[in-house]
Amino acid sequence: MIRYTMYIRKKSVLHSTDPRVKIILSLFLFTICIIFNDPLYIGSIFFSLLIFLRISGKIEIKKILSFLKPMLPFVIMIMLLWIILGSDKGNIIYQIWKLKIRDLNIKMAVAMGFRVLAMILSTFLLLMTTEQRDLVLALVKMKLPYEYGLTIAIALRYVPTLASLAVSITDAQKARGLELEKGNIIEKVKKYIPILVPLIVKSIKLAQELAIAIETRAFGKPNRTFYRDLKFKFRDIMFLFAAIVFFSLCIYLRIKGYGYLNI
Amino acid sequence: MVKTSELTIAAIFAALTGIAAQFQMPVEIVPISLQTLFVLCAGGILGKKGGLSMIIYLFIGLIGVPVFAGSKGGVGVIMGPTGGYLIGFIFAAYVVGILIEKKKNILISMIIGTFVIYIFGVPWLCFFVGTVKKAFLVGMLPFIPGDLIKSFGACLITKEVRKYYSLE
Repeated sequence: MIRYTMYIRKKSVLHSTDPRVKIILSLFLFTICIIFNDPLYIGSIFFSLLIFLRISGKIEIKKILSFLKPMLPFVIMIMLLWIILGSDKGNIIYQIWKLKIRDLNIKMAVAMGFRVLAMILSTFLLLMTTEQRDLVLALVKMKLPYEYGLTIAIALRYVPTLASLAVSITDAQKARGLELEKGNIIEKVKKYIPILVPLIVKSIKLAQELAIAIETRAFGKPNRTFYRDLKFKFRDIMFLFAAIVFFSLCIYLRIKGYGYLNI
Repeated sequence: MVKTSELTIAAIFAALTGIAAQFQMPVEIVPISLQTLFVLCAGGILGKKGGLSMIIYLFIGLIGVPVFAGSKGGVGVIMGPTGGYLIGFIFAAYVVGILIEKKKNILISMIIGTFVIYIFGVPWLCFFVGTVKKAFLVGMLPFIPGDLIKSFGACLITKEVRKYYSLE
């Protein structure tokens, strides 16, 4: 069973915060990860993000790490590349044949590894605590044209439906004697056509019916009102204010030259 | 004003591409999947709106729905070594769409679309594997035969589907 959403249902401060505030907070944190490159700073950002998610979002650290796990090969690759192909500065601490391992490069590798993880974690802050429909609603409220918000919502809604449709069409064709595993490459590709064409045609018909259904509900009329609405609460404004102060503080530190290794 | 049915079909194609990405054979860094076949079909069937449907596809992947190859999703995948190909999808679908709308040969449009994906994917991969040559060897050469077959497949599918649904 594939999980189609990262949302984890909990009752917490972070869950009940306005999604718009969370989007801004995520963008701030993402930027902070980019501007610093001292492993000490990025490492502490990473761990404080983990703790922040645990305390204010009530999400178990084990769960967060299980979502981070698929990114591990990529992080390790980046770290190895930095160690091998990094700059020529710094002291050589170990040398195998032509491969020189320098202390500065190791420092940078650690920083880059944490940077990627912290960037991903800053998006988790939004995605694990916000339902998809609230996210789309927030984007629409942030001036994304409603038609595109709706398109995103439809795509999100139909991923599981079409996945099961694909499975049933495959089964139906197999029942009619289609053998997907046999034959050379070209034959194998050709065997996908009796699955893909019905899948696409059926999906297009679904989409057309959906379009009619949407139009009967006066889609495209101006002055739309929302059944589920978002309103800033006092707490959200405080949260936003705190985020802005924190972000400006980080920018200030960076301009003063903290947290940046010149390589 | 965009037609409603164009929007819903773009949405549905975004979802379909996400499902197609799960049918895959992992080879080295870049996985071979039916994903690119649907990218080309999106351009072929939707025309220029194929680009829109790919933007939606990337967006739903970005917010964590496992629609990228190997049931992955999230910002990390786009930042990763294969991210360039994903961004190339948008332009590939758009280019194929334009060519098809101008009534160019379908097969040739599809092949051009495939190379548009490479134009974005390979330089991005360079960034990760170090050299241009290596990026070509890992991220382009092994996939050319497969992608040509997929272009051919996309051409056949587009022609079939066109019998049921046309751009007008």
